[in-house]
Amino acid sequence: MDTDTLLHKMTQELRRGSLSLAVMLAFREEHYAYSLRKYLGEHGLAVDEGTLYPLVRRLEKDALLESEWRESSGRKRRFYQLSELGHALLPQLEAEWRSLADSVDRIRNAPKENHE
Amino acid sequence: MNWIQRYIQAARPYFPASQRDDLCDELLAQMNDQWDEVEADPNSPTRDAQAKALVQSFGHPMRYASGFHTQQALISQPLFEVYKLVLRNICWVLLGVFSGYALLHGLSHSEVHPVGMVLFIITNTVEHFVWFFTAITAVFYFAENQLRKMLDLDSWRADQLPPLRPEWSTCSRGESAFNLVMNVVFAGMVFGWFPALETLALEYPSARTMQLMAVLTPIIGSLLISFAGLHLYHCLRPHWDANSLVANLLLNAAVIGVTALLLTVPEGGLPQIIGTKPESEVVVTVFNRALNSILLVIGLWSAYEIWRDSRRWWQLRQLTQGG
Repeated sequence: MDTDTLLHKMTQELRRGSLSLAVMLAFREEHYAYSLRKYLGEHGLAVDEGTLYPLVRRLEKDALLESEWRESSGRKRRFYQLSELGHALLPQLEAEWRSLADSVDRIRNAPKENHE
Repeated sequence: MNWIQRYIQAARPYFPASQRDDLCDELLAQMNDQWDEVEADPNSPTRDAQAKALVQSFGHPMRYASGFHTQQALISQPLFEVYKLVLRNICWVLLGVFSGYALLHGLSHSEVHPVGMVLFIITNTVEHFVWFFTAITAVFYFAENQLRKMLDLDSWRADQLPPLRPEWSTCSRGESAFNLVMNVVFAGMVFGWFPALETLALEYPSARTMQLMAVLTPIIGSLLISFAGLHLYHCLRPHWDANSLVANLLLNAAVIGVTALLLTVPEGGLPQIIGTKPESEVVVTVFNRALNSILLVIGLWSAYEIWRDSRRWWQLRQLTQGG
């Protein structure tokens, strides 16, 4: 496996877990599919369609999101937002994310020790 | 300029059937939203090229739609490893069985065509592999939820761990898969799923043997299938436990019963090869004698396993009681 492929694979793995949290955070306010993608892009998280929309449906299936079809600007769109369960879980997920990020930082900044 | 409609039509059959209309409507809304934005860009090339680039960004319709399916694989991990082991073994066992068939045919027939024999081995191995492949895949696919439940894959707790056990209690998964396949293939032979014995010039020594075998066929076949089930259990849980030891004890007791019954037949309980070539007469006689001795060997081996497993069961019982 060449380095580019390996880097791509590792980046994908790294993003996979973080993306669910980013999407849930974005859904604290109402979005339809395309507006969500734009919103994430504007905040520096460009995600391709084939990854984002199935994830949104999975979160909805897990009852973390709720949705409804509505007409807006003369077009029917499906609007999603966090469900009650999603609102309840989000603070815990955020705390988990911060703890994980802090741990990685501590490991990265720890002085090198000789374990031999 | 109907790229969007074309894309949705291409993706539609790949969406999960229960959400197909809903997903297509949503995809259309997303693409239209993106299209509004692309159209508004003054630096964009022709409308047709723009629309084409838009659908291109969604990727292959099948790949896009596959993301909405919950089950991404026919057989999921960790059952897939066992499935692969079984399939790999079945391939080699079938090759061995049909090579044996070809050898028997060579011994019993005066005219032997080597090219025909090679073709016989290849075609029969491939044909039977396809059948077994289909059956095994179906078993793993339809029984997956039950197998996962049996292994406690989704609700495992540390206190389910058994106490430390002796070295002998660990089984090799490869060996279990091989034994599983051997038993399934022999069950296939007993139940007549393989080419008829007449083509190999194998005959029962007397009408009485034939009648006895007709009665015993479902019993022997069921025993082989039960042994296969036990080996499948060990492929999934590669440790001897009290349940599998008891099952093995009972099955071996049944094997002793069947072999004892067949050994009482004076003419021999198994079909004999009929040689038509004078030059292979000696080999045929030796082969037939060996065939009759197989019953004795099987019976003795089962007796040994009963003795061994009784001791092991006792040892496990003491370990469980002790800790």
